[in-house]
Amino acid sequence: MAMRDLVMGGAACAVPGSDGASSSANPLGGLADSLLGGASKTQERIRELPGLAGPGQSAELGGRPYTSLPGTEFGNEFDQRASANGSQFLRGFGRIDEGGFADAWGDAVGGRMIPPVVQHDREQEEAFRNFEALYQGVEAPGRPPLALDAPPQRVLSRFFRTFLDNSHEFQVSALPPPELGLSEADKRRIRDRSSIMARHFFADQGEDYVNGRVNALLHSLDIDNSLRFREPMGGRHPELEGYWNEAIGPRPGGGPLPDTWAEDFHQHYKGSEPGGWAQEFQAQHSTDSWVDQFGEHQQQMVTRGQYRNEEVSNMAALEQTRSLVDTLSQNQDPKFQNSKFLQFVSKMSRGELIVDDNQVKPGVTNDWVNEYQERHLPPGEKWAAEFTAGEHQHRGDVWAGEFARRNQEAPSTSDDWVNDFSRMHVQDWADEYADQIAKNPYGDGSHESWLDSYDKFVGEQMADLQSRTDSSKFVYVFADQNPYVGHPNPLKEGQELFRRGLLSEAVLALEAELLKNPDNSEGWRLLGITHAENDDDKQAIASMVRARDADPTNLEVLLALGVGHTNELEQAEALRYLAGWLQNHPRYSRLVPQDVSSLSHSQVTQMVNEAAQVSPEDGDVHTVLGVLYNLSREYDRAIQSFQRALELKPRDYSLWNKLGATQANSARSADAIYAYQQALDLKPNYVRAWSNMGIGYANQGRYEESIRYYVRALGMNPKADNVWDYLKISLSSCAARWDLLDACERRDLEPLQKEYPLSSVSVIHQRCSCSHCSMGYIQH
Amino acid sequence: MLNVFSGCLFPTPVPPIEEFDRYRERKGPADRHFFQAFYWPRRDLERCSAIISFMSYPLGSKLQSAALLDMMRGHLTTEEGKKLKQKNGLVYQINVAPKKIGFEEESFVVDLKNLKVYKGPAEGKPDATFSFVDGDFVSVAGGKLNPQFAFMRGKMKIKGSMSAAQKFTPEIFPKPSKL
Repeated sequence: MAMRDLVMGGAACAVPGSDGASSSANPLGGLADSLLGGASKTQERIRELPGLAGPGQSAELGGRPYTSLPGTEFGNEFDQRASANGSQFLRGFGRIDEGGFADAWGDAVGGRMIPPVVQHDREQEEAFRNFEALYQGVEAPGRPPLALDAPPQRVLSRFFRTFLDNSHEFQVSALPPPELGLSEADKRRIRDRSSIMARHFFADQGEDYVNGRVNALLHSLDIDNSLRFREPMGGRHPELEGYWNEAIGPRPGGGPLPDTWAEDFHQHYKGSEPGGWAQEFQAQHSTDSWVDQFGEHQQQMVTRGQYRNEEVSNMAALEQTRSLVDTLSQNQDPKFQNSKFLQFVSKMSRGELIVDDNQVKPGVTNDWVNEYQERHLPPGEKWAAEFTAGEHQHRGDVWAGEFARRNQEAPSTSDDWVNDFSRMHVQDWADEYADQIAKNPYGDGSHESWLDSYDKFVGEQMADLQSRTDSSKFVYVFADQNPYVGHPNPLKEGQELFRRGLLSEAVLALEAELLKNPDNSEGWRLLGITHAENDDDKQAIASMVRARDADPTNLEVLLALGVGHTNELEQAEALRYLAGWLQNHPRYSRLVPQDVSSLSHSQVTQMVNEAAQVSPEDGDVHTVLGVLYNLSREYDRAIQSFQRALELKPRDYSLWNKLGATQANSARSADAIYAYQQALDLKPNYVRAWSNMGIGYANQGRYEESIRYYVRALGMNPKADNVWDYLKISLSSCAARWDLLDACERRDLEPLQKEYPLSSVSVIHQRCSCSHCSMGYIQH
Repeated sequence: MLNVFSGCLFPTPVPPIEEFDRYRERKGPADRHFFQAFYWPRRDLERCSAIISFMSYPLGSKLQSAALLDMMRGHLTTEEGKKLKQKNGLVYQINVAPKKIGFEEESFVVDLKNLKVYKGPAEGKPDATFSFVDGDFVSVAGGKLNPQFAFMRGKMKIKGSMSAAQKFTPEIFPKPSKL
């Protein structure tokens, strides 16, 4: 598998004793050359260090104190650096954080000598000290360090990191860059790699951004960007082919060279049990020693020496780190979907992660390996989890395009696959994968486990969606903190609070009762009524559903559910409950056929009308009729029915509110206000009537009054979401008071209460302007 | 007996809504063309008057949005509603789908120039056409869902003049009162 070979290679390339000459000629050649040695070394090390890298690792490291790692701590390095030439321009780079590129270049080109101690800030010093303490104590002199110093590489890595860092504006230097000794091939590689990386990392930023970014980098490195990526590459193909073959070739497992990804995939997974990928990976490729080697490699990069002779080979080192990332990105198979890992290595290639960690944490390598193992042990589940987390989408697509390409024309497509990154064909990807599985001659368990995870994932998503739309829409939500929990008789307390009109308190007391006694039908019913009066229809419906579950024939509950769903404009449900009301009524059930679910609105209406003829003195029938006519928006009839019901039950404040709401909904808001006032006279803390009052005024364009009523309602129940929404609308229509809108956004009632105080709400409406004064039931 | 429906022109007995229901099941949502096609050829005066009243009342739809738009129709007859002609004066077509935008849509027209609400498509060219899923339109009109957010999240599709669309705010709709 190319990835692991590159991993190996990336580590091995820096192993002392590998042939520097060949690796300087071609970084990948260096990789290949060092592979055999590196692999054997790796195995050796497994034997030596069965546990994770610890002291043994540092024993392997060079004798020189490990002072810094590339890219971050230039300032620290410079003190020790002998080479004046190198430090002169490097110091400029070291200051990039403080100044801009232009300054840095200015310093470098102007040749001004900067004092050796360059801008250490406290943090850097502390990190430095930590680092010394950490490493000097532990490190034993091992082999002499090989001179693989890499200032130009570090320069480049600084470039690359700035380039990849989203938060920094990439500054293009107007001055010529220092002579980095980049060969044409190197330049080309930098250009290709940076564009690949850029597309990868800035996928969310759009093509223009990526291109701009890449161009800025290339310009600052004096690399000609005139060659476009899609151009026929001519001479490049052999090189890339060689690259690919060499990377794949010296696999420790031996065997023929696979030249397609698919084969590689099969080979790799042949005989591996599902879930054992991590172990396998570790066993075959000795993850921890790879980490060792990587660390070592990194360290060698910072040990000083004659960098000039080595610059190409250092380029190779960086190149390999980056090609590791590239290869990792390429191998987006399900087992390797772990973005954390990928990100980690990506960061490492930029020198970010390992630097920080090594400086602050002694056990970072171990930590990382642990994390790595943990993440990879149950690949199916982990992957599924990640999929669920929603990060997968893009990677999946990427993988699809990638997979397709590799399958067809494996080794020679190195620059085309860049474009595949931007493809978005989930379906293709799925199909492709299905094909692949069908073609898979080995049929081992790993595919199935992947498929299982996928199925499970899809199933969960569907179930989730289902539950969100259906059942959980009206799931009762209990308050977080309830002072009534532990109350000896919360039901009685709740009833008392309800009677006194303290609705929000009553809700808490009743919730306490229902937590204690979840099947208390009466408790749920009262809670539902309280919520309805408190203007919270969602919770009202939720509690009424529970009440109905406990007692499916309770007429009040059925009627309340009908009303609740009518308020939510859910006609089918409302109709079902109202028909249920009729069906369960002892006096009228004979009028109703057995199956209520298929009745149309007009049929139900007709039956309730019959019931009203049977017993015209039953106020409830008229109420139900009123609600039914509300459902069909026959408001005149609805008003008529409610008025009839009110004649029978004139003290029913909820009927007055129903009448008012019907009038308001049929564009008779002035009348409605009178009805609401009647309701509020009977029950002063009737939140629903207060907020309806606000709506009534708002619909008449009297926004200031409406705000006062909304604020009043919210003062009694700050949880009434829709009232907050309406208040916002009224505020924005009435006065451009951004401070108040802000307060509204924050749900901060105080400034609103100050601005629109209660006292100015004209509580008593002495005069009635409505058209129903002639109807006899309103006394003046 | 009072008028059967609000805004009804003739005092009529209950129109045979069952018949409408049955026809609707066969032919899809009812609109004025349906009623004309269904009843006018029979020269059934009683039915025709029922149609007129039916047309003047509900938008003949089970969608939540239709309930709201019925309120809007009533609202446009009030003083405050009539001000919308000056304040806004635009013609909006609103396509409402029960579950998914673009599927089984019903069109409604809120004509603030002529202060009318009727089942679409619009008689002229609407200034802006919106597409919603049923509940989302109710949320937008009720101030629960910011129109800009709705648009950005793809819950609201807009065709036509963008400046007209920007005047499509929750303020123009009446708020449903609760029973």
